[in-house]
Amino acid sequence: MNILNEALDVFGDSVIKMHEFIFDQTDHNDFWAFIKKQNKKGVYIFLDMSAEEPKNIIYIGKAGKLEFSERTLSDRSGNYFYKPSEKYPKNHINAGKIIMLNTPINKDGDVEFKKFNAKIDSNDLILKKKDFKMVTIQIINHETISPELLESYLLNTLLKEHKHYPKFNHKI
Amino acid sequence: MSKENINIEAIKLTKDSFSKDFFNNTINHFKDKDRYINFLDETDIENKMDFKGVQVIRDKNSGAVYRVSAHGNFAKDSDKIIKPNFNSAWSPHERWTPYFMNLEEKYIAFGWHNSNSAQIYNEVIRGIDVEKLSPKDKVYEHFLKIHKKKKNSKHPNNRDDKNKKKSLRGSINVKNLPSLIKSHPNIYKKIIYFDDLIIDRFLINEEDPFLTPVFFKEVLINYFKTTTDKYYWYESA
Repeated sequence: MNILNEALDVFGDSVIKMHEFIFDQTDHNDFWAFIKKQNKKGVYIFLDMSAEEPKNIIYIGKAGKLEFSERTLSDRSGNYFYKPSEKYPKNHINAGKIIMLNTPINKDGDVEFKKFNAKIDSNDLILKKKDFKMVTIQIINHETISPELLESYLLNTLLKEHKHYPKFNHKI
Repeated sequence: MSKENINIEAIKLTKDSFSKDFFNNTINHFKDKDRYINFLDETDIENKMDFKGVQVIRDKNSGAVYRVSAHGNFAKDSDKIIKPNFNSAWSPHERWTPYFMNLEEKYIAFGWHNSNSAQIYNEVIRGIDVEKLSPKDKVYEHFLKIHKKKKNSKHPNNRDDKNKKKSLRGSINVKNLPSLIKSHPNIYKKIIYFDDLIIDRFLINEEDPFLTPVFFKEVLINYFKTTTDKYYWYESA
């Protein structure tokens, strides 16, 4: 988190606000409650805490273009996981059944992502529950910065300063 | 270059972008490093064609900014190794969207709207109504030609209607556009001639120690959005 904190210092508390979620004495309901609260535009970050910084940052994404979109962090970040009531499609062998009852926790007790834009091995979509961390950076003052700037700034800093390319991002 | 210097540069750039003089200072900064090109004054054809960095298209008279775009991003190959060269370094004469730059007739056409503009293109140039996929024999012939020409492309019998429509809208020959624009100028929202434009090019290559083109583009866009009410983005569909 040092890298993120250092990089974000430039904006100050009046511009952005950081929130984080870990599965420490919390469950899948707390996770979705956290997602629901992320009702502003900004940037979301997934981390695999089994790795050292900066490799623990596995994905950075943005939510809500400044003028053209009303999409929030809640809408965007929630899409990376099966929804609580999401069912298998009609042509599937388990059609009609809920895919993951306690999503994002799968039947083995691990956190499972649904998908990313980048091509990713299915095994890589699963993290140990204790290793999963999600950070959101909500933009408080929309007159100052855009989600695109915040996202590209962090990716630029990771790549140029730390030589790190988050493994689930597909272009920087 | 130390890590600290890199971080300071990125932070400084972000901070400076909130000041009124940022854009002019940035032009001077890039000029000092021989990394700024005024595109319309550029005589070296190589520089006109292949470009890595960030381009700003603005109105010479009103100060309006029409488009800020990044050309080049780092991607990964199939083995998840970061490619050493940028993807999407850009040649203006090869694109019709999000805008079309006609170097010979010296204009830029902004605002291609896929569902309308591609429809007109297909009707006028190909003689095909995309929505109705008719006349059917012509549509079939079109996809059969592609199938024979390109390895791995689907036989027309194996394409569904959705795929056919998508392909027809997405496979446009940019060489046909100048004549189409003459007869149907409304396929773009706005056409502006070079005489009324300034096209700034900030050169950023793969080895740049501080910047990716995408980040620098966003810094400039943020600057224009927060300091001027004349930022227009003729968004493509």
